[in-house]
Amino acid sequence: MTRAQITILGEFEQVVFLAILRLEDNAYGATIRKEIRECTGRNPAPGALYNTLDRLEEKGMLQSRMGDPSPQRGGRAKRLFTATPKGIEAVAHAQRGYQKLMERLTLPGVAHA
Amino acid sequence: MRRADLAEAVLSLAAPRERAASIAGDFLEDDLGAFRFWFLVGRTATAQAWRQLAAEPKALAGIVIRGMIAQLGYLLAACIVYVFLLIVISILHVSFHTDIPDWGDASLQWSLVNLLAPFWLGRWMALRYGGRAAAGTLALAFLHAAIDLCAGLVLREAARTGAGTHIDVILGLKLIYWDAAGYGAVLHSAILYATLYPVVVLAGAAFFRTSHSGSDIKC
Repeated sequence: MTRAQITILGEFEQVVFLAILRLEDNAYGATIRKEIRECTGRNPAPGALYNTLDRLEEKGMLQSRMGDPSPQRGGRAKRLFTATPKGIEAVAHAQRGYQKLMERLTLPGVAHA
Repeated sequence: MRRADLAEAVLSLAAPRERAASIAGDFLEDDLGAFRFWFLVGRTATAQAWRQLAAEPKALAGIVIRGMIAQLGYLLAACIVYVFLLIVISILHVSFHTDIPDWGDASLQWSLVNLLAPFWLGRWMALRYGGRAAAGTLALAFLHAAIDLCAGLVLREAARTGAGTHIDVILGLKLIYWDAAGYGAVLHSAILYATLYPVVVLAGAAFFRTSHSGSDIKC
């Protein structure tokens, strides 16, 4: 994939994407919010999160499918998200960029590869 | 009190029903207090509607034009209801010698134009546009408010130059009553369109969504 073909992800889009990758087969609205909260300490607004998920799906970086309904959710199904190869390539590209920027930098409390 | 069906109906005004149900399920799973639950429902629906406004301006322009035509139809229906009520009141007056006070007639007119017609329009929006009803309603409210403000400014300028200074459309009910001398009334109307109007239209749409659980009509 050429540089021009790779879609540039925004910072919040990357955070959402990485949370989905971490959650594997259990990535849906509530768990994604929880994962972001636990890993980054920030509490994303649900409106921003769902808009980002819709946008990433429209760009072809995520796929969603409806799961089974559960009583805990008032009989409502989960909308489960999975990453597409295009999305994984875009987030890998963004992370390589961060790593390059981090080279030869020493930040307190940050382990370097 | 958390009401999942109502939350789902509100969210389904700004998202397809299946997605709205999953978002409502996410909020239920989060085990939030009632205030936080409804705050997040409102905020999420607003964010989704706002995104649609930004992402699909052409589609929403079409919705707004059709919405204005539908509103005209519902205002005419409200005029018929008003005439019917006047006949009933006249019969009561003749039979029982009861008078309706001036404020009663004014309240009736105000309710028909500002509550009943927009409520009907909300039901139509939900039936026709489903998950885009909220964005369409917001766009319609902005347009109405802008038209009122612009008409007020034009009439005020016209009054300075000595040209005609009012536009009235009265079919029993005062459908349009723009008067340069009463610029405050035009401003009041614009404020109503920016505040009460979207609330009533969305209430009508949410009422329709709670009472009809079928899938969305594709437009």
